[in-house]
Amino acid sequence: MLAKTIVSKILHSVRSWPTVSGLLLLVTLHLFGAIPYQETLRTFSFDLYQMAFPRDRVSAPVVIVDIDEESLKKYGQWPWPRSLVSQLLARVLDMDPAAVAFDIIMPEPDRTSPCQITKYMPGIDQALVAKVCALPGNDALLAKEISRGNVVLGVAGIDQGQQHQVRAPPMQSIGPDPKNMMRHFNSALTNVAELDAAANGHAILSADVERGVVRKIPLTASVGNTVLPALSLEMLRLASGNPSFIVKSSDKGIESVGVKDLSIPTQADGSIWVHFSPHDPTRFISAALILEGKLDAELINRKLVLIGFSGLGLVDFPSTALGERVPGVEIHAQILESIFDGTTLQRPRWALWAEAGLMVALGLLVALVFPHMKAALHVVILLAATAALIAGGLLIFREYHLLVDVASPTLLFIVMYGATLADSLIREEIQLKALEDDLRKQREQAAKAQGEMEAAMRFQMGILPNASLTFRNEYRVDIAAKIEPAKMVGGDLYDCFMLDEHRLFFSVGDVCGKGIPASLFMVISKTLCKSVAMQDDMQQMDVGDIVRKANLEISRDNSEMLFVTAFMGILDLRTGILNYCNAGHEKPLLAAAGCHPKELSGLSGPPISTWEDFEYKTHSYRLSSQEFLCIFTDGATEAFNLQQEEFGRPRLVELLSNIEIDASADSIIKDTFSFIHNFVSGADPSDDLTMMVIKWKS
Amino acid sequence: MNITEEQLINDVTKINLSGRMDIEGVSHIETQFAGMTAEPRKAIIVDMSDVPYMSSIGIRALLINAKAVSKRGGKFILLNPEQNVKNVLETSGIDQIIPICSDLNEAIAKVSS
Repeated sequence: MLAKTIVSKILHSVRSWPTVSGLLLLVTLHLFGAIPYQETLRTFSFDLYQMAFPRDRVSAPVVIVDIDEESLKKYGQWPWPRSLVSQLLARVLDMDPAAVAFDIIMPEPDRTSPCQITKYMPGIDQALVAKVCALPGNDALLAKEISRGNVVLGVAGIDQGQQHQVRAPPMQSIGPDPKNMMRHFNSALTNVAELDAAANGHAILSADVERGVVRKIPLTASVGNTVLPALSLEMLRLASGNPSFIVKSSDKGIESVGVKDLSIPTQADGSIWVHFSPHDPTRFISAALILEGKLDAELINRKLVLIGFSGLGLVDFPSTALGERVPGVEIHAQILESIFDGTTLQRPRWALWAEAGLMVALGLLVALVFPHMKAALHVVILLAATAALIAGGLLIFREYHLLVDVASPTLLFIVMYGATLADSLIREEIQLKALEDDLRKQREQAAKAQGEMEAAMRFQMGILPNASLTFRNEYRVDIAAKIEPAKMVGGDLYDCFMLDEHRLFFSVGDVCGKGIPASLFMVISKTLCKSVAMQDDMQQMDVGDIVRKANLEISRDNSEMLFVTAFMGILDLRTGILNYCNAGHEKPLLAAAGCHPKELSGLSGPPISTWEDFEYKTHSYRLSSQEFLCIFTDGATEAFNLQQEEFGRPRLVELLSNIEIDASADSIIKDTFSFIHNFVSGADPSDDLTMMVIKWKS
Repeated sequence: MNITEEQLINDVTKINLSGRMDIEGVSHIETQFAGMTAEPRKAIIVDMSDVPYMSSIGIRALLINAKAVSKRGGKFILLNPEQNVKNVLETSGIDQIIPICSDLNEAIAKVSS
């Protein structure tokens, strides 16, 4: 039993092998990041985490000086003369910010510098040109202001182009050289050298934009051979007065970036996932307000100030993970806020393995455990596991700011379950089809067998004489007989024919058992009895001798030990004398109008074919023309109705006692059968029903 | 149907039948019945007192075994059938080829002789 269980389990697991190996392949692809569209699904699920739990803006260390629509209206279209920008910076610096950064790149010299303008004035007096060109240029004015404080200028990384040397603050590297681990640009769009040289801080502005959505920002990146900090990191460096920024790395990649006393954990490529809060207009101060000197200095004092645009048409508006379109400068502000509040997001290295583990566990659950469970339980487990995974992912995000992808294991779970469900449906369909085919074949066979049985019945009924028709012209006797088989072919028999001019031979018999074996035996018995009775030397013998001889013949080759009870008689139509032999058959009834029917009680011996050499006795009775003889089989007396009541001999006796004196043999049989049918009323017949009625007319 | 056997004195085997001897009942016991009447047993008494009903298939089962025993020169006797079973046996003339006894000692004496 135990061995059987183990074998069946192994066999079952063999059936699961394709599923299990498919699962392992999928998990391997997951670990190598090679599943198509998985990254899209993953970032989408991370966006959902952010939408469910956006960052609360706790502290407000950042102010955005915004060159907005109002500023453009008041001070003219962009680009502004850099003298105006320098005024703006001067005002900001006067309010003593912790650091200032431009989210603006100024790659070309200002065309509105006094000396530059003279180039656009043909025929200008050269003395005037010399005088004007002696005035400080706008770039020089701005450079002067830039050099006055903690000002960061940014560059934009470019993948193409010649290697380009850029200015950068010193990097302190802890661990292996991180240069090849981080985002790399060949070249960069830089500011005019005059401004660059004046700035204390240098940073890279580039963000990773995926289909218009910013999710990750590199906190450090390389341009050519130079490593640059991100705008946010560089501002923090200047604000904290550190001479260098720190990049900490290991064999597996960059682990964190920062400055002294501040370490920001990053992904292996030095980037961080930004935890976004919703757009907040209070982050913005209009540049116009500052230029007009109307601003309370407290709003800028010790703050990190970003100078950038929100004016429509000046910048594109990337989307945050929350689905909002915000000015690019606000994204830098948000990075600074989340660094400040210590709520930067991280996707830990173990997340990939944890996800792989979940995939394996859920996959094996579907492949190996589910087949042994009820389907209703599958749905419960499926829903519970999905809910638990989603809740777990959200909880880890909210409490620990960690990004664990639960969407991939959940989707795998649902898809695998769907696949196994489809597989079992297909199997069931195939099985159902096979069953239907079987059923159809069985029906066809049954129909064929039915056809053959019907043919057998027609043959069997065909060998029985139609008694009333055969003796229609014999005025001395009125005889009728009928058989109703319980199954299609039966084991009852009757026969009647004239032995000579005056003697009528008749028989009624019942083979033990029913169906085909009984019917075959019936045909043999009837044929042998008739042939014995018709033999020349039997003509003058009495009926007992005929039965003895028929018994001998029938007993031969009877390996199945079937036997037949039989009542046989020879009626002399001249005298009404009946010689009969009862071989174990039901005693026939003699009925006359107005009299209680009596039994024809003589017994001659056991059923035919039970004892080969039995000497059957002959009995005699003289029939009166006032009475009739009714011979029947136990199908009449042992007919059962639906309540399992037996028709019984007394009912038959009662019925026969009420027969009219002039009723024909045919009508007596008809009435008796219909009476029995009424009694049985719909129950299946338990045995063949046979009856023969003989009336002798003197 | 149920069938049991017991060995009496003088190598007489008594077979006890119980239950309705119809198609279903006989199908349960016919193999065992044949085994109990097989060689070399020659003196068989079949106790019928617990058989309430007998159909033609039941008669056939008795006949098969009675004939097998008789062919070997043995004796096969029915003991104590219920009245309606006895009626069936008498009506069908089986009592003329298989003796029926109502007393065990008489039956033992008959099969042993």
